[in-house]
Amino acid sequence: MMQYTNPQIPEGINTSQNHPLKEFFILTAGVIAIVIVSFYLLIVTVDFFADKIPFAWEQSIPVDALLESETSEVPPYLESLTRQVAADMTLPDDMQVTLHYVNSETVNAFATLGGHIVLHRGLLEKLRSEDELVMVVAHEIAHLKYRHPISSASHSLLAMMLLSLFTSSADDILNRLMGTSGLLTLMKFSRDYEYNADAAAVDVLLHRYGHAQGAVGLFDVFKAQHTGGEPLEFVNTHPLTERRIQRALSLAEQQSGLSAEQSASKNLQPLPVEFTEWLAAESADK
Amino acid sequence: MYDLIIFVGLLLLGYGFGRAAEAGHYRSIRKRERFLNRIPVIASRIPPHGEPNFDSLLVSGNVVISVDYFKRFVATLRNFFGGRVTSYESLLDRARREAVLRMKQEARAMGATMVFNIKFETASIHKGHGNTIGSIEVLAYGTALIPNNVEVVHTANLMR
Amino acid sequence: MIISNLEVIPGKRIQQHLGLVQGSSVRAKHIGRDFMAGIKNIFGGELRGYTELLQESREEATNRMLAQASAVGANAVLNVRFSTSSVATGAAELFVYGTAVILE
Repeated sequence: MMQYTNPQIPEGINTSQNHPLKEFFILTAGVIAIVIVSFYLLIVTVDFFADKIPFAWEQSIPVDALLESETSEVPPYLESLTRQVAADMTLPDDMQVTLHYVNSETVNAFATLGGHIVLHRGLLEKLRSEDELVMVVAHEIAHLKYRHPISSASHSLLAMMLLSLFTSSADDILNRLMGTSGLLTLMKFSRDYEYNADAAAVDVLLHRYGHAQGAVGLFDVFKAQHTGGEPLEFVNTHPLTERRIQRALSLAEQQSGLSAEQSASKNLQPLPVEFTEWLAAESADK
Repeated sequence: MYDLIIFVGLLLLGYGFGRAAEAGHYRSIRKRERFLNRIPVIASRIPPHGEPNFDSLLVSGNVVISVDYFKRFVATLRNFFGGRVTSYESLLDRARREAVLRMKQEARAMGATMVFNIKFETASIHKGHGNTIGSIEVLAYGTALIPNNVEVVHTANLMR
Repeated sequence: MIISNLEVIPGKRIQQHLGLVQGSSVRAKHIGRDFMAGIKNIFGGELRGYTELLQESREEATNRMLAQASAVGANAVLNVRFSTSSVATGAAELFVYGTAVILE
């Protein structure tokens, strides 16, 4: 007679013994690291090639058609100030700066594809001196000079493609995790852009006035804005205002040889009366 | 932000309850396996020769086990890198052993001494988010050999 | 260790049956493979990545079954059956089971 027995089979042959929490943390960290590293590489590569895209090609993107609808006429004072600042900044030969003005409460200014700079009345009203106005304009022109608009546009586009590749088979929450870590990487670069633009603008201030108090003044405006609780468009993609002040100050100190106290005593150039009157009229007009 | 809180909450719930349920289930499985050890389960088709006094009857056991949130999330992460999906291994192991145990229980209620020609069916009967596993069913079935001289304990089982 | 899907091995007598042994393995391929598979779905043809995945998985499951068999002192596993189920997208479970026996 054949023998039938049923010995107990030891545990753990069909299951793995590593701790689930350990696996969880390693995998989560791995996913985040992969996203950050690939975004980082992507951005660095894009930035390398962004400079080589001809400006004429960028200009052919019909951005101004989108802007035209809300913009109004730019006063001659702003126009000529922009020309002067642009002349100070040694832009690439083929680059043309076009200034736009929007009569709205928004406290914002931005530079976009095709060499367009948009100033909102809300921001202009907050400014108390020409130095601050020059700081704003020079900052935006610096974005154009360094080709930041085309870089960021390519970043967003390629980042979206990369992310959709990653998230093809994953679930919702993982998608969001990857999206967020990707976005944070993009923001890191965006903040670097802001520092670069700030530095270029501080140079212009030093060249025009011999000191960079305009930068401090402008950042004070931002600070007042933050405590007021009104959300600026500058929140995440831009560095903390306090930190920007520090950088601008130390840069100004290095370049001009003036200490912070010495610069603080410098007077700011007032805005011309015709400009402030024009602003008041615009405001009443709205 | 709320999403994140909900997500972490679900993960913790899944981890806590999932671990507790798994540990409890394994304890119960081990206890019953020792208890039902007398009934060998054989994957062969040919029953022992020379012993004609056996009745044979089909017995089966099935179980559906659900994945927990934590396991599913870890499995999704694993899908990103490839390799062994350890969080599902214990799930399947539990389901298989439970199905065999239920089949053995049925066999024992009939007074069987052995189960022959066991076969398994596995199905993922409910898909969750992004087509990930929601729950799995395992069915184990085989032929119970009942010695003729044994009184059938639960006739109800024969009627199934 | 002999593995066979026969009931008996010709010329050998089964001395003792040691019951059911089983091995299972769940595996996934990395995202790159999944992506390639998605592309391959347009053109058709063999998905080498997944062939490999299932083969690796099958080997691991078999090894686990053998580990169970040697743990109970068997020297052969007879009447072996394989079953595959897709428990989640991009991941497959391979399951193999058979009777552990001692052959003379």
